[in-house]
Amino acid sequence: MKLRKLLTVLALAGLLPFALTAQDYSDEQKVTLHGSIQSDVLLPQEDASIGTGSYNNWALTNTYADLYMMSQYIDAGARLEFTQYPLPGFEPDFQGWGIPHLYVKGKFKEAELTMGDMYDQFGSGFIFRTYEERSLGIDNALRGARLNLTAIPGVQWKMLGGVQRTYWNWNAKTWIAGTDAEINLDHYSNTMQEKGITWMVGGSYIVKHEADEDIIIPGTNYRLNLPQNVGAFDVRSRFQMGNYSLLAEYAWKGQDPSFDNGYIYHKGQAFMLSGSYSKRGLTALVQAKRSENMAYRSQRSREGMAAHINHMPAFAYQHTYALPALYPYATQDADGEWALQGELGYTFKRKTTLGGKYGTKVKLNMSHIRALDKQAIPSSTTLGTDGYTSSFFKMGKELYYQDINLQLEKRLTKDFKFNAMYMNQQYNQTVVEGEGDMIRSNIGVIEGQYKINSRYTLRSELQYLSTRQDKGDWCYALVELSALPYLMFTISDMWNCGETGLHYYMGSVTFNYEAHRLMLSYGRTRAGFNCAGGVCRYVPASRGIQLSYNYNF
Amino acid sequence: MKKALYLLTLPLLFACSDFIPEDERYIELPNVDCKRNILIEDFTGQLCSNCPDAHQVITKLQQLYGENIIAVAIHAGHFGIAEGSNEKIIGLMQPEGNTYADHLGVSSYPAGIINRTSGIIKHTEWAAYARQALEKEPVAAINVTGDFSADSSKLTIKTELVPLVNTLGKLQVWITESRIEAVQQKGEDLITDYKHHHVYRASANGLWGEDILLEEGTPFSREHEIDVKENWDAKNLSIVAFLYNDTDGVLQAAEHSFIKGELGGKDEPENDDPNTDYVEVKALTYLCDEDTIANGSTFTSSKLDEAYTAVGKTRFVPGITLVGDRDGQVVVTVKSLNETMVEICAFGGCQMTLPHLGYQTSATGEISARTRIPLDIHYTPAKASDTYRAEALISVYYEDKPDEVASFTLVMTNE
Repeated sequence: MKLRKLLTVLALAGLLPFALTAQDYSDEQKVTLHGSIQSDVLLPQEDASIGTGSYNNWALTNTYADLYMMSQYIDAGARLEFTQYPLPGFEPDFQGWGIPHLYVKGKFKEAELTMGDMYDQFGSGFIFRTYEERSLGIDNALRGARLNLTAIPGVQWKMLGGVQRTYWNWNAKTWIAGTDAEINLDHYSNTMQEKGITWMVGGSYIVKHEADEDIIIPGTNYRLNLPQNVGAFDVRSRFQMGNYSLLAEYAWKGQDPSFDNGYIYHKGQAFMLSGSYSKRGLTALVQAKRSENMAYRSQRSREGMAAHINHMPAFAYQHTYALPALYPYATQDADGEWALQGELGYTFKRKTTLGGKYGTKVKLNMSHIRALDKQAIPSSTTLGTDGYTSSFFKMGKELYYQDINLQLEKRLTKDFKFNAMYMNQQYNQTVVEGEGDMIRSNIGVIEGQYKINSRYTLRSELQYLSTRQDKGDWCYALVELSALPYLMFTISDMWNCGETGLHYYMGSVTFNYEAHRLMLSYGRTRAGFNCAGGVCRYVPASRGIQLSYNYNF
Repeated sequence: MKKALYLLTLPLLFACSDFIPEDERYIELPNVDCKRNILIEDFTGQLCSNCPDAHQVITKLQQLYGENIIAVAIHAGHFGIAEGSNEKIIGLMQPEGNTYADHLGVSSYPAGIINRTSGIIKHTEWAAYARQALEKEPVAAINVTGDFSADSSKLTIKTELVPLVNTLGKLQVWITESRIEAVQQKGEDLITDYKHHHVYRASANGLWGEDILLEEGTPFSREHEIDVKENWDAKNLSIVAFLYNDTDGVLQAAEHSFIKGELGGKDEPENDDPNTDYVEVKALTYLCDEDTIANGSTFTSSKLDEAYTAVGKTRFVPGITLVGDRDGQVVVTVKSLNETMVEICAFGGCQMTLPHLGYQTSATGEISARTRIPLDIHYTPAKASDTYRAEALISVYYEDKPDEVASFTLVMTNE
C-alpha cells in the first residue's frame, strides 16, 4: 500500500516540470497547468510555563502540493498531502500522507461530468457543503461523480453522489446522493430584466445511507432501531432589485439519531432571512437564523471535525485582530441556536466636517446568538426519544454569544491612515469550550500605517482586552516594517497582564518574490481556538521556529 | 419556464428518509451469557462537562452485569485537576493518568477503552462492546483479596490466578477509591459535592505491571504491599487486578472491594453510617433496602427498572439483598410458582427459571460475614400487557448446612 502510494506520488511529481510552463497551441487546444505549494513547518521547543507538552519529533509539518490542468474539454487535478508529522492540535486521524484528492472533469456544451473528489455546496450549505479548510484540518470532499447541466436557459441543475472523505478513510458503509436546482426567474421576464431585478429560486435534496450499528440503551438489553436513510431538503429564494437584496432559505432534516444529538429522533430544521442594502458610501445588513438539530454527518457516531455533510454559516463577526479573536464563537449545530446579526457601514465623504480631507469610514456590527427555547421530554434516557419540544419563535434564556463593535477607518494624510475599533463581547465559555464562565470583555484596538517613502511602510497595532473572567486582561502590540518589494519584518507580543503575566512574543521575517512567499518566525503561540466560518479547532500552546512557504503558479 | 419549474420537483425523486415511529425504536437483544469480567478504563476529568454521562453508563452497566464490569476512572488531560494542585479543591488526577492516556492515544474526553482491545471508544459505544466482550471465553480465573492494617497504614494484596491456557503477559494491580466527594463539571453546572467512584489512586506494582508466565492449570499467586495515603479512605478502596498483554489486551480482571454493600454504581452512596453496614442476622437474612424480609413471609414489590421504563418496556427489579452471619458458600434457589421466567444474577452469572428446567434455577457463590450481597432477581415480561405478576419461592442455605434454609415468597406485580 505504501509502495503504491509512493509510486503514484513519484509519477505525478514527474509532471511538475511541465507545470511551470503553460503549453500554448491554438485556442481550442490550449492546456493550462496551475497549482500551488503550501508548507508550514514547526521546529517545536518544550515550554512548561505555557503548557506546550512534550514532542516526539524534532520537526512537524503540514505540507500540500496542488496541480490542476485545464483545457477546453477536460480538467483534472490532484493534491499531494504530507501530514505524517502534523502540526500540534490536529485530530489523531489527521496523520498520514498521500494523494487524497484526485479528479477529472469532462465538459461539453451545457454539461459537465466530474469523476473523483469534489467540493460543492447547495444553497448556503444548510444541508450540503463539502470544502477544504486547512487551518482546521477539514476536508470532507465527496468521492464519486457529479453532473452539472445548464441545458435549459436560466437553470442550473446538478446531481451528485459518492462516499465522503474522513481524513485518510473513505467510508464505503455510507454513501451520499443529492440533487440541486436553481432557476433564475428573471431570465423569463423582460420586465424584470428591464428593471434590473434578479430573482432566483432553488431547491435541493440530499440523502445519506449508512449501515446499521448497535447503539444500546445502557443498563438494558435493547438497542436502537436506527434509520439507515437520512434525508434533508432545502428551499431558497434570493431577490435582488437595485440596491436591495433579500434572501430566504429553509432546510429540513429527517430523523438522524447521532452522537452529536444524544441519539434522539427529533427532526432538524433551519431557517434564515437576510436583507441587505448597498450603495456607494452606505451598506446595511440585517439577518436572522434559527437552526435546530442540524448536525448532519456521514457517520452518526463520529465526533470532532470530520464527516460533516453540511455546514451552518457563522453568524458571529469573524475578527482578524488578535484580541477580538481571543474568544471566537463556534456555531452550535446540534443544540441549535437563534442568531441575529446586523451591520451598518457608512462613509463620510471627503472634504466634509466628519469626513475630513480623505473621507472616513464607520462600521457598526452586532451579533447576538442565544439558545432555543426547549422543553425536555421527561425520561431517564434521551436515547430513542424525540428529546425535547421547542417553540419556533421563542428564544431560550441562555446567551451564547454577543458582540457589538464599532470600527473607524480614516486617512489623516497622504502617508498616514489609522483604524480604530471598540468592541463589547459576551462569550459563553461553557457552551463553546465545555467549561468556564460567561466572559464579558471590552476591547480596544488602534492600528496605524505610515508610508515612510515609496519603499518603506511602517504599521503598528495596540490592543487591550479588559475582563474580570478567565485569565483577566490582555495587552497586544505589533510593529511591522515593509521593505518593498521583497521583505517584511514583524514583532509582536501578547501579554496576559491580568493573571499569569505570560508574554507570547513572536518575531518574523517574510520574503516575497513573484509568486513565492517565505516566512520565518520564532516565538510563542498561546493555547486557544482557531476558527473559520464558525467551526473551531483547539490549538495547544507552542513555541519554536516556524517556517511557512507558499508558491502559486 | 415550465421545464425549469419541473426540474425543481426532481429532488422529490430522491425523497427517501426513514421515519421510525416511537413504538418501533427499540429492538430487544438476547441476554448476555457472562463468561468473564471486563475492564473499562474510563478516561475522565473533573472539568469535563460530558464526563458524568460516561459515569452514568458505567453505573447502568454495573447494574445490569454486576461484578462482571470492573471500571477504573482515570483522570487525565486538560480537563483533569491534579492532586495537590489546589489547596481548596480536591484534585483526582495522578501523574500516571496522563501517561496512560498518552500511551493509549486518548485525546478527547470522555473516552473509554474496554479490555484494551476496543480502541478508544465513546461512552455511547461501551454497552455494545461490553456485550460481546463479556461473552468471550476467559483464559484465566483471577481472585484478588486484600487486608488493610490500620496500624501500619498498609494494604496487603494477594492475587491468585488459575490459567486455562499457557499465557505470557503482565499482571497489573491498581488501587481505586469510590465515594470521593469532589467537584465535577456536569453540563453547565459545577457540582461541588459530586460522588466520584472507581477513581484510580495508584499502582501497587509499577506503571505497567510485572511480567508473568502462566502454565495451563498451574495456579499462580503474587503478593503486593502498598502504603495507604493520608487522603485515601480505606473503607472506600478497591483493588483491581488484571492480566493483559499487548497482543490480546486484558485477558481477565478481578476486583476486591472494601466497600460494604453494593459496589459503587450509584451517584448517591448507600447509607454511609458504619453502624448499619453490619446487620444483626440469624444465619441468613433477606433484605429489601433497609427492610428485613421475614423467613417464610410473602414479599410484594412493584419496583420497576427506570432504564427499561424509559424505553417503554417493563422489568421488575425488587432489589433483594442477602446477608449471612459467617463466611461460606451459599446456594440460592429460585422456583417460579406461576410458570413465569424469573432471572437471578448473582455471584458473577445469571440464571433463569426456564420451562424445560421446571421453572427452577439456582446460583452458588461465596459470601462474607455480615456483608450484603445483591441478589439481582428480576422479572421481564415477554409480552406487553396491562397487568403482570410473577411469584417465586426464593430459598438460600449454606452449602455445609443444607437443612437450614431461609426462604420467602417474592411477588413482583403491578396489580
